[in-house]
Amino acid sequence: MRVEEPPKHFTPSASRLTAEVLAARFQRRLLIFAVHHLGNRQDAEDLAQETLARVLAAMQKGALADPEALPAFVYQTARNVMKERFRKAGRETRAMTRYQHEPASEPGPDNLAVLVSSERGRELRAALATLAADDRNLLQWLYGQDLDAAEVAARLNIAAGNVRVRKHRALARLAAALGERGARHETNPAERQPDPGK
Amino acid sequence: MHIDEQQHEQIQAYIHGRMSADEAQAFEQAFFADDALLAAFERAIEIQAATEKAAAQPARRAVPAWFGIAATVVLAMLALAYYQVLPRGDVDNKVMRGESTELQLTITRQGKALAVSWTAVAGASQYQFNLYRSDGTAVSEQRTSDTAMRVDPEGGADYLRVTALGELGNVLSDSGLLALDAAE
Repeated sequence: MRVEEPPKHFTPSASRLTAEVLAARFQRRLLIFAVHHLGNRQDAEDLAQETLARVLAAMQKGALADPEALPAFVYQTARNVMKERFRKAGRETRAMTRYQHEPASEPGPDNLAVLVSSERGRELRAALATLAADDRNLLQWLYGQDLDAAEVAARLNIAAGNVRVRKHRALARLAAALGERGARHETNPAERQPDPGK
Repeated sequence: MHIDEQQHEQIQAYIHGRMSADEAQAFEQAFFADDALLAAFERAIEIQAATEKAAAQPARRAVPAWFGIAATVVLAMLALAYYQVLPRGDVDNKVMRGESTELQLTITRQGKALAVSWTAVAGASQYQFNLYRSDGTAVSEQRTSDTAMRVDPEGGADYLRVTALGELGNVLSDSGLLALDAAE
């Protein structure tokens, strides 16, 4: 029986990179990228799987000499897979239009919410509920309503520059409420330094 | 997670589709390489999802539990009142369905009386026709091989029931209990 040796330019670090490691590092990124562009999770998961399979195959063929270039390589592969899908979807849309079917809807900015599991959503809401109203409102305005710093500053009657500091503190308190490692616990107002602008 | 303010703004711009194609591509490339940027991005969409859900449900949390019960009772009373004021002629030729979908009654007004008829049930040798008062006591019980009966509204009955019986007296199908005042 003949055993094939790996290509000489397939670096040792790359050879250890299994499909699981690739997935652990890039699957979430690929899902976010794909949901943002495709608008639904099922298509995004398909794209992520196909991208990872292509990257792994390319690495095993020695197409990636520099492991440092792996993120850019994965990203570019994902873009190529996406383009192929759009081309195919374009053909299908044209065919559907000929038969007077509605084309697929455009992905919107809120599609990424499908990537947050209901369990994680509950954890976040519980953690947000432990924050002071100012912190909670600030995070809701910035992230939920997409207000800019000037608009939030006007609502809080503080300088726009202070919104950034408050946001970082609110995020740190949220991380602490979620029990995340390395997060500073700043939920006790007595221990808290006064926020700027107050 | 340590990212600068510009990256925070880029995350929001990307999520809300405010980037040009070139900007989005540059952001995505950075996002694939930078773990801190990924973590901040994850947090942004988590907060967005959580706060949107919370914002979408404030009225539900503010409404006391008894409000739902009260609303249900009011709706039921309105439905009952509406049913009571329906013109009586509306029931003519109306199919009244009982609990069994097999035995369908048709009730029509004939002068002062109500004519009740039903479709024949396969295998039925006779039909039991029961009238009851509102307290559940029986007014009459009649059996017929026909598929129609007449009811005198002044006979004191409030409900009727028709049951299709087989040769051994076994129940083949049942109209269920129907209120005569609703049918009048």
